[in-house]
Amino acid sequence: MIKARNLTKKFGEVNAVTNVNLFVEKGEIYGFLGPNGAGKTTTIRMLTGSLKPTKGTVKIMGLDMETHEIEIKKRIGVVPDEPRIYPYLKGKEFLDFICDIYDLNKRQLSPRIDELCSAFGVDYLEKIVSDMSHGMKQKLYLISVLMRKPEVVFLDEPTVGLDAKSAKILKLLLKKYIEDGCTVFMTTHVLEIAEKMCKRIGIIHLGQLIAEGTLDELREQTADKKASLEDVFLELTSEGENIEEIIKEL
Amino acid sequence: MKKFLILLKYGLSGSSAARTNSRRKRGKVSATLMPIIASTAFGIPMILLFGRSFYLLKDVQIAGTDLATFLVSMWSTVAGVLFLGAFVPSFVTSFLRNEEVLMLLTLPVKKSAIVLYQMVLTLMVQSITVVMYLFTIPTYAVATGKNFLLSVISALLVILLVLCISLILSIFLGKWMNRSLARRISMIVYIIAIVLFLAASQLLPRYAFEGVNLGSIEKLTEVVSLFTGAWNVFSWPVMVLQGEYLYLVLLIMASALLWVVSMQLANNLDLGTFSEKVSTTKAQKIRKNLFLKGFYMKDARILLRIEQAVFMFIYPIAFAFILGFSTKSFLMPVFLCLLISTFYVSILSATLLKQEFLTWPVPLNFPVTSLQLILPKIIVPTTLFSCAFLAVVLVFKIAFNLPFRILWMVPVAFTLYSAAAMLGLKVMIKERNRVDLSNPSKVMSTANIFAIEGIVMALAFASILPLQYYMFSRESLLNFVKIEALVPIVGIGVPTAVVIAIIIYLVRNIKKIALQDTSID
Repeated sequence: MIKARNLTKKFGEVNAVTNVNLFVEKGEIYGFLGPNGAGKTTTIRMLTGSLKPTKGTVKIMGLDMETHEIEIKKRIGVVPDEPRIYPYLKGKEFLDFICDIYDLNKRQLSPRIDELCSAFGVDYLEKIVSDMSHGMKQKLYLISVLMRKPEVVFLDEPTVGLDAKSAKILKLLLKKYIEDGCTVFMTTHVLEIAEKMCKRIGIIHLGQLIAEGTLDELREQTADKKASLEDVFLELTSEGENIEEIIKEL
Repeated sequence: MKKFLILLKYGLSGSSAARTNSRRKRGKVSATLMPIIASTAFGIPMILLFGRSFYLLKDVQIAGTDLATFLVSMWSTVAGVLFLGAFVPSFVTSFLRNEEVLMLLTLPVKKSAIVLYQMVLTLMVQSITVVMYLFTIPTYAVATGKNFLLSVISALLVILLVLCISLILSIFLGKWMNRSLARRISMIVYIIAIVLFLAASQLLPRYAFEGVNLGSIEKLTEVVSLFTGAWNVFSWPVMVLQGEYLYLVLLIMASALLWVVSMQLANNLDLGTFSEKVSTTKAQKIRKNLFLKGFYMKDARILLRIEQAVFMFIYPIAFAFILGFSTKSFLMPVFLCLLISTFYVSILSATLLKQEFLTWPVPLNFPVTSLQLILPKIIVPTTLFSCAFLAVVLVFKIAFNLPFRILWMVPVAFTLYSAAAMLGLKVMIKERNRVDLSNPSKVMSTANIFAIEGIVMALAFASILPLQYYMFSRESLLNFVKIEALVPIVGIGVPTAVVIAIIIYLVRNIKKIALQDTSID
């Protein structure tokens, strides 16, 4: 469903992402983890077509991003880390805008939108976006993507800004989507979410994919075969070193 | 007071527009001082205009009072009300979702200091309405030979009084006024202030310099005398200058008392929860919406909601009508309306693209081409302003009984607007990394603004002006070109050539955009 080969991105002399090869099957939740500045967002932007790779190819649903960009974008959904919505629109106007952009039938979609709004506690569709908080915008943006039920969903830190109930609902919805045959590619800093939800996990560090596989397969690469994802992550990214010493010195 | 001064010191220095280009180290005028400078520029013509009018009208007596006093009382009341009307919503807005205020609340700073700081910032933004009041009273004093120092002191005391009243009003209004309502009220009052200034600048000279029609003035003074009563705090400085020093004492006492009360209220204010009015309309309403046309509808909505857009839309129309009907001519008003509105089209198309950049790179996830993204930014402002220009032309056609050929100006205006929109977009794309996206007032650099103004002016002079003179004042055109054979060449040929050149420029640039990759790099 998602195939990246030798994906590389350079910004000037800086190698943001280097030779990332990953493959996500249909009906899978794939967790993409990494420390701050590792290249997660850069990778996701290349996969979703909003950033051109310096080298490498991206194929989504068998279609090449370079030649079928618009077609791919019609069939995927992207929830960015920062829900940037036109500040002068009202919530419902933004949803209407999305329906127009994706050629969706608003009448048919309306019950689904109502359900999603009800589930996420969104009762502020008449509010101007600039008057909404980060969490409110995040929920609105999620609804704008989930209402379409795209075949592939990319989520960049989706639970940031969401209240506990909405985060839970999102997790359950994503699981339901998988059962319906959708594919989910997700980045997150909340390792617990990745551990509970993701079938396979990729760990990126300093622009390179250093580990990939199920949690059990990742554990094989560490000393402790029963370690939590947090410990696996910290060991593989060498971020776990000296933490206790740092705390002692503070 | 110390904490307040610290807030001002860092708050004002931090409000300069971001400079990423080292060549821009010169020109350190901060974005906060610019409104003051612009307002002072606005105030100087006011001083000249009012000064002369007061001087000429001071000897015209009606019902025991001179006309200059009536005029200043009326003007200061209107200006004072406008100041209050613009300041209060702006002040309310300044607290809504203000992250700086929320940060300051975590520091050991009194709330009154924070409120005072916000008041100063708001005052800078609303400086035009302050100028309208503040400059008039001392001008009256000088023109009529009254005490200048007393006029300045009493005017400043009124400003202080109004600020305290504004603070108290804001506290109560802030509970129900949301940000968009507050911004709209503020902008409408701002537009009224500008229109009043224009009306005054056109009508005052007629009364003052061309002789006064006593009959109509008597009727006017009956109305104006309503505003010179003791209850009207805005005219107290005028009464002080008439020798009624009781009003000076009242001003000092009222200002001091309200200052103490407002600072007490400010210290007890809950600044973190200003206006969280939430609509509880259910999502079912979405079913009743009309079918939308994607980016076009979205951009049209945004354009009509941007506060500066309302001003930019109305100002050229108001200007044309005021100038046209006061001078009973249409050539210059229509030309100037087009000139001003063409420049505004470029600003607004750039603003629409800036709105897109505010959400960047989210639009890159949409299944749209770069052309589908960009084209509405040209078409929407061009169409709206063309309709407005058509309305202006039609009004003048009916009012001055002009022939239908005046409508030839509309397609020329349309091409000018399109060119201006494209210019605005190109500048915005070029300046994208330098423009302060968080500042809604900052769209492009001053240099580019002047460049666009120059280009737009040149295009208008080369197209509309010769066409106008060819259609309605051929003798003037002949006087200019001297040779009769050149009259149709300059009158029709040059505008046609300009229109063709613009069309070629547009087609070329649209093709370039169509081929352009929108993905960020």
